[in-house]
Amino acid sequence: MVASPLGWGAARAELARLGSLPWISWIPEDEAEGRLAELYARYAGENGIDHILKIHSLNPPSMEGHMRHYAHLMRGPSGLSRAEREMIAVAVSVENKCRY
Amino acid sequence: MHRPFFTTLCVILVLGASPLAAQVRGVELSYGRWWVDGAYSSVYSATRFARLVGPVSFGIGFFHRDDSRSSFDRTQTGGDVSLRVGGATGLYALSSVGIGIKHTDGNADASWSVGAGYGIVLFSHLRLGAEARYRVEDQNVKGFWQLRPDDRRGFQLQLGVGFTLGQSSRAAPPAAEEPLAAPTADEIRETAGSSGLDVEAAALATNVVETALAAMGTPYQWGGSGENGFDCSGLIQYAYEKHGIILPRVSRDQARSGIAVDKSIGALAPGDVLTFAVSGNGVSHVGLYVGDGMFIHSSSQGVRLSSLESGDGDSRWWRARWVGVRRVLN
Repeated sequence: MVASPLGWGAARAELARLGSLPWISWIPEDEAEGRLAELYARYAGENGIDHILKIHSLNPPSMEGHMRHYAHLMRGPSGLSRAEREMIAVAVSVENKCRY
Repeated sequence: MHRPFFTTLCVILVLGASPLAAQVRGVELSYGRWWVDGAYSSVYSATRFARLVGPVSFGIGFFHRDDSRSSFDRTQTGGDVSLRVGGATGLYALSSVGIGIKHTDGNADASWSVGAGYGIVLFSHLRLGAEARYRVEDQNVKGFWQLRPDDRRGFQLQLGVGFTLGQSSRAAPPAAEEPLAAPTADEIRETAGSSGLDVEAAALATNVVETALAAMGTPYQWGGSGENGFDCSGLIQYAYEKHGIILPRVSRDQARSGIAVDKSIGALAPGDVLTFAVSGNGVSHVGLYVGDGMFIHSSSQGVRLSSLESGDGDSRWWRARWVGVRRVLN
């Protein structure tokens, strides 16, 4: 999905195609500054920043909280193995009809 | 006439024997006075101490007791073994048993004593101590622990000076010869990626290590877990917590988090928690592996880098006390 804060028309059209997802404005990597730029650099994977993180771009502390929550659930010490945790995530996504 | 000779002999024997023993902690020289029936005799002793277990240390030494002031001279030279319970500083309890050969007739006297002492450490190598004990001396070795009417008994006060010997006796690592260069984020990520972590875990480990590295130079603070100061486990908890991973507060419990990894530098990944036994057998210090044989930790010198393999004094000191590795990232 290619979009920018200004490209709302195209983004809305894309959303209409996807269904009833809410629209949240977001800041692309090359326009990020300050705290957001730091977090983008920290969380960039092989394919840049995941969309699920970019939706926090207007509120960097929220992005950081999201990643901390994710790391806590999926990567920290736990009685569940990594595979078991991923399996739960997939099962929940399927049940919620989440395209992820 | 005997005194200087025997004192010198004792010192030479103890110092000479020390390197032969494993677990050498130090040698203590002391002077004491033992009061019996209103007169005192002077006691010179040289004792080698080694830590036995926990707060208990074991001493073996020589003594010379100059009894020439007494009407019946029992000046003697012999050996004793002692136990101390307590740290190098502060109060400790002590007990000892010994056998001395009397200079007058060559017969043996046996003695035991119990008491307490107080020690202070002046520099890392020098310790001063004062001891008070009740000492009972029997003219026979057989059954000497029984109190008999002809036993000589009285209080003994003594002052001692202790020296630690050799590397193993050091209570703290020597100052680092030169500061180690911290790896860059890219280097950490590369090391993490090539050490068996998946891409996401490698990124997370890199972030944790970078957070810890950003705290370099923060002073040590016992119980500290914030930017004003850290203790060893506080630093690691802080670095992980910043990225969502909640670890136990104390090193002993951190040493049980996650899974064990082989204790070899080749098996380490950035973000691994290295455990150290500084005093005793239990884990009492933790560090965070940053890659390239280095780890970051908060010691008495504050948050700094040490190496497991550079071979300098600091590195050898930590390497000798390194006991395990825990990988806390799944």
